[in-house]
Amino acid sequence: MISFEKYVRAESLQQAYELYQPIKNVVGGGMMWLHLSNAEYDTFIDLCDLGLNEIEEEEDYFKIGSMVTLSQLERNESFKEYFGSAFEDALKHIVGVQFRNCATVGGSICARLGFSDVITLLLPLETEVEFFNRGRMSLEKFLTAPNKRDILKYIYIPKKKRIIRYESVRKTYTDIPVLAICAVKNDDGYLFSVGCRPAIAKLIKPEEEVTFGSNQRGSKEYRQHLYSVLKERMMKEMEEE
Amino acid sequence: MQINLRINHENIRAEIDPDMTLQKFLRSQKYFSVKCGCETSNCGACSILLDGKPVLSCSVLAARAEGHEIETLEGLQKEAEEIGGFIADEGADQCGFCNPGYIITAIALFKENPDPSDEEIKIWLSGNLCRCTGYEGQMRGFIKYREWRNGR
Ligand SMILES: Cc1cc2nc3c(=O)[nH]c(=O)nc-3n(C[C@H](O)[C@H](O)[C@H](O)COP(=O)(O)OP(=O)(O)OC[C@H]3O[C@@H](n4cnc5c(N)ncnc54)[C@H](O)[C@@H]3O)c2cc1C
Ligand code: FES
Ligand code: FES
Repeated sequence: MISFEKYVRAESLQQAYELYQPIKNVVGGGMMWLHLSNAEYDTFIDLCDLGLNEIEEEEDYFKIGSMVTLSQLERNESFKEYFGSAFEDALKHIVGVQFRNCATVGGSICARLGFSDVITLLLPLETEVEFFNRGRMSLEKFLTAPNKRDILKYIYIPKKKRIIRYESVRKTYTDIPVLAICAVKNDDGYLFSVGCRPAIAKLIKPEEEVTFGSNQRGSKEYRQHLYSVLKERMMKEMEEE
Repeated sequence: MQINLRINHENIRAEIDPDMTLQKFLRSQKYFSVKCGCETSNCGACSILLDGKPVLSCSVLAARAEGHEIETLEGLQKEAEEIGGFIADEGADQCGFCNPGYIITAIALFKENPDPSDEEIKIWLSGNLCRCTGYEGQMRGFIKYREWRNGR
């Protein structure tokens, strides 16, 4: 279990960023992933007082604080208008209601987990992330760039009318996925985000190849087969809409 | 470090270690309905209400509860007995270790949504694991509780 000597509730983003620079300090979101680590730190930096727990609706986009919980995303009524049931479909399998009341969108992005439903869902929605020091960039760029010690402030999702489908295959209801796919259809055609390959989610066009690997939950061949079936099925459903 | 919070509507001031979880803190204060199952956010046995919402106390820092309201089953006896009766009538508990977690999550569900569908009950309770009885009994218990509550 994680241990640390000092707990600090940051009073500003500047303070949080400065405290986070030494490697012996750590910043936390919902703590659900972090608390499983056995690392020993000097200082735990809590972002809970920085007003980062709101979803704001602007004219062209949603601005989401990094401390917004998965439950807040799942239940946001305005999201339903733009994203249909995609958020619910993607998040409802993640452990349980109690868990999703704590786990944050910021922690889910910064942890860069290969099996992340959250990342698989957000990638094809043209999501951008805004860090305190590095500024704003696409989620896709963040996931491929080297990780830096920075504080994620907000994520932005443009409001666009599009058809979205989310599918995941799991061995049991609340287990982590064997494969996760988010498909988007817009004026330019189809875009797929394929997660839990088991590597981190990747954006591809339907005609492009995607590479898979094996782990305890499934072989490379099994994932490849699931993907080809689900891809066809999802495209067929979206065509009919 | 010191924290000030409310537990079951009582103001509490206590000395804690900075990295102490709410689960360890609440058990140190003798709230033994808060169970210690997995400590890895998987089983739901440590569920409590934080500002009315169910959370996993094994994964929340006690320090983060500063200024917040915690409820455990010790403060929800009437609701706990009502729901617990329906679970028992269905033979849904064997060792009973998972019961407090189920009951507190169900209390939160019925507060938010007094008439949940069977599917909504399943989604809400899917974060609670039971080693002994296989979930069907709990489901029957919660469905019967819903019918009773709503006078059906
Ligand atoms: C048992 C279990 C099962 C899970 N199953 C699934 C699943 O099926 N699907 C799925 O998608 N996910 C799953 N997850 C992952 C989960 O959904 C979250 O993504 C994960 O817990 C991280 O979110 P958090 O808020 O808890 O972050 P934390 O644990 O607090 O932090 C995670 C990392 O992000 C960093 N961080 C947090 N916030 C910030 C910030 N604002 N700026 C910079 N860095 C930051 C932390 O330093 C840490 O390195 C599971 C996790 C657990 C523990
Ligand atoms: S003890 Fe907290 S989820 Fe199991
Ligand atoms: S009755 Fe034993 S764990 Fe549920």
